[in-house]
Amino acid sequence: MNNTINFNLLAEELDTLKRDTMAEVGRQDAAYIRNVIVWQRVLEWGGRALLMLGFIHPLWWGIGVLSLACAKILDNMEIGHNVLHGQYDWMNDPHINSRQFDWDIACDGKSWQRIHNYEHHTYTNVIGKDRDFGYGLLRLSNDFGWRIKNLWQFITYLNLSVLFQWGVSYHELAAERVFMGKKKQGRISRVDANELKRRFFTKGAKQLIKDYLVFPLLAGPLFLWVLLGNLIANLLRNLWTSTIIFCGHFTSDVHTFTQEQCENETQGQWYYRQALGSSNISGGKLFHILTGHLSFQIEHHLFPDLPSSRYQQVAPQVQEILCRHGIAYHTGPFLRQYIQVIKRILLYSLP
Amino acid sequence: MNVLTRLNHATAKTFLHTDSIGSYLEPIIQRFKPAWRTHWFRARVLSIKNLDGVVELLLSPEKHWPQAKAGQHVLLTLEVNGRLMTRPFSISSGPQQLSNDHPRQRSIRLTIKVNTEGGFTPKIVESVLTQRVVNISAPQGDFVTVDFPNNPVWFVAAGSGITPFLAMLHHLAHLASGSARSGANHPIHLVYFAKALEHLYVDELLAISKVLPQLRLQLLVRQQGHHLSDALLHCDPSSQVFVCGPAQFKHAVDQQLDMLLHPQQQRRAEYYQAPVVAQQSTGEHDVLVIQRGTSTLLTLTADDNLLTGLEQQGIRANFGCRIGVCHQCRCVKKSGVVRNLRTGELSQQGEQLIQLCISQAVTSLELEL
Repeated sequence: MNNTINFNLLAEELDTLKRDTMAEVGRQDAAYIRNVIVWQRVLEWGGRALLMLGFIHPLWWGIGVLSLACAKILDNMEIGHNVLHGQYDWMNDPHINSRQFDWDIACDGKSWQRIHNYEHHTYTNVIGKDRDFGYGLLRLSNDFGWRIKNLWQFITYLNLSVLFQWGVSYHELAAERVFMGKKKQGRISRVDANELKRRFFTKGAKQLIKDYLVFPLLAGPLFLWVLLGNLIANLLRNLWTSTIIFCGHFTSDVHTFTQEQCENETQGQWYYRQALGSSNISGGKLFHILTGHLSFQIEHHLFPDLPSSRYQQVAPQVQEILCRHGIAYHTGPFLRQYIQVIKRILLYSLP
Repeated sequence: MNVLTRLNHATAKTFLHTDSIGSYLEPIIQRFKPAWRTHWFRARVLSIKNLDGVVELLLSPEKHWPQAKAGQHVLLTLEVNGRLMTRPFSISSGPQQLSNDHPRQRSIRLTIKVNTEGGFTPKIVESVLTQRVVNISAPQGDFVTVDFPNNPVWFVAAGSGITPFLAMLHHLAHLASGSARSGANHPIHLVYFAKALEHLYVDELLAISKVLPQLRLQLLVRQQGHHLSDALLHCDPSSQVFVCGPAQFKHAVDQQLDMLLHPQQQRRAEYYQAPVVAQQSTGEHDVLVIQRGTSTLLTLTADDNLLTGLEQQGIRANFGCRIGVCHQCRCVKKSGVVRNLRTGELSQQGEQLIQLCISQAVTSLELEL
């Protein structure tokens, strides 16, 4: 770890920022998330209805696909991801909370919470602990030895993007299996492998039946239109979420850490690692909402349970604090960040 | 659960990822009907009076709200700066206001003592002024009296504990005015303690006593030398006793009645404030908390309820009333023994649902929030 940084002061300043912002959270944030949910519902059912109007003009069908894809993106990113993080638990709402919520994706919400909130957010970019770094499929730094399969890892990456929801679902399932019987300090697996498998298959089956059987059947003679529309909407959602998520942790400037570096880590050092392990994407307000505010990956990793409705507000202050402490704040427009990701995947596919 | 409800749940779970169609649509319906919620009834605020340290809310419940019995309470849910908060309050309206004959003309009167240090009551006025529509539960509780008592009845109230008795007295007065049986009536005692000049609804009580001649009113002030022992002196063991007030008051009445050899099964009580923690639980216990997939091992001192204990250690749990009524802090206890602070009962060792706010660790615990 960098020794020139005053980690205690860094921790104090970021803690204060978080506390002050949390104190402002209230009516406005509750209204915000409810508003996003309303938009999600409107886009979803508007989209599903338009899919059936393809016989009038294919353009309607096209708009329907986009609308449904947007609904799924909102559901997964801005609503699902953030609600499952517990960002809106303070509302005490019986439905909008991390205990009740489930999302429109193959991965079971509870299984995702167990791994993502704990493993990825605690051990961000710690090689050997954060399996989200490369998802066990891609070699993205020299911390990993080169293997022959890395030669075609760009193809693997494309496949992963296309099938992202299934990748996520499988990833969260495998995690528990890997850790079974191999308890790490402070971590205890509570759910047995059979329960995880059951959740994996029931949630996955539900999604398949819903999008590729029931809704197409309801459309009667328009079966294929609806089937194809759902397939494309899911594909668009997969590509979008995968792309945004890759930009959050795999741009060229992102740091990785060893397990030794993180032993007896202080709060300040933890903040330091979270900041350097993440990168932001600049953009407009609507873009941020569609990324579920994961375009503020740095802020999200520093304050995972701060409501997403506050990330835009705290970002300039976070940047100011980090800069003052001499810590890089990685951000850039989407295309630049994404090209860096592609470069990284290609670069490490060779020994 | 009837077929329709099951169908609703199954459809919502499969296609909408929520527990019911209503909860999927809730944010949309709220656009047209503010405070529409699947779990609760809606009630329009007819008026709000800010008396000295006491707020009187008059609510008009929606048509489907069930008939309330005199003495029952509702859970009142308000949105306070974006956050839903729930507390129980007794209904003090009379039978005419609660009658189901004209469901749209009903009105629920809640009289709420403002506790300036509390988290809920000081915010009622502000919150109601912005909302105009609040949520209530169905009327609940078995703190109700029989219509034509066979024995003397004693109502013992302290402070805002008068509210359920107002409803009961209005009810009994209504029955008496419409019935020929009033001749055989046993005395009804109302023992009402409050600070000097802070007795609520004195005019109403006096008006009731005109219709209900067997009512014996005692408006008492402890600071002026009035004692429970004197007030309850003539309470014989056959009497039905109803007590409502703070927990300490309820204990004082119990002690007094025990001395008078009044049997416990002849008493009913409704009291507020978190119950005092039993003395014998001390020391520290390990509590493993599983929340959103994360396990945290904490050491909690046993002399607090679990909700407070967890919050002091920085764990955020869902909560509502904090006195064991609303079940919002319900969570799964995977293992260990807890004491129910309301009943004093010890739980089983195995997995069960508990309410954090009225549970206390007796052994090491494992909780899933």
